[in-house]
Amino acid sequence: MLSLTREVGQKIVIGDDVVVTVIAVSSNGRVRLGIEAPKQVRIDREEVLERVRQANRESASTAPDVEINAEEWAAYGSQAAASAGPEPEGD
Amino acid sequence: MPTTTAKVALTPMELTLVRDLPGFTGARRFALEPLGGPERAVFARLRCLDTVTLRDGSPFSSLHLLVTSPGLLWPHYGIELDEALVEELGIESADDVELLAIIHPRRPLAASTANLYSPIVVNRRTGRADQFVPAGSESDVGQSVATPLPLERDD
Repeated sequence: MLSLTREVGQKIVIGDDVVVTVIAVSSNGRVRLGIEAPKQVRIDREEVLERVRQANRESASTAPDVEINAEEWAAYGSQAAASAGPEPEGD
Repeated sequence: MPTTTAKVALTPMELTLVRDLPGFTGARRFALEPLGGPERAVFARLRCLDTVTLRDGSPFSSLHLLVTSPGLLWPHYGIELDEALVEELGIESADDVELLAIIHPRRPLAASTANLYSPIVVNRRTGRADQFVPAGSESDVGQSVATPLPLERDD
């Protein structure tokens, strides 16, 4: 891995059109970064993306069961639509 | 752009993701296959039409997921779409938007959960789609990857 030392206000350039700026470094160890990139470049926090990946993998791993129970899910769908309730709570 | 999903049943369509489905390399084209009658389909099979590998390069055969249109089960559900995604999917009005929440199927079925945290956003006119990934801690949408389905438990 390339390791660079930068000061607040300094930038690094990745490829032709991605620029990362160090905006602030706080005493509690947090670093605030500014990222300029074309709209089609996906920028995610790694732990958020990993959470989505893992949820997808877990859902796919149990999905074969659905093949066997497609009719059961269809019936559940009818029931669910009939009993749609209030907003879910978060985590 | 705030979204709500119209309270209608899921209909068959083909989706093309603008990026791989997170966790599955190469997973771009999907067939949405509603389960149940055309006017009452709440759940659908989302079957991948591409050859898929995991991130370590190992093959993952016959990728398919169970999904629901969250507006059918949670009438007030919505997410705030950022401008870049709206533009990339070619979304022109709220009517273009279909959301699909991925279900984690469990036994019994009533113990299954839905991922309302990162739904797949679909332009239903064109089939262009992308899984929504929240920006993170500062603007978290406050939903869970494992929200219980609003079903009667009969076990």
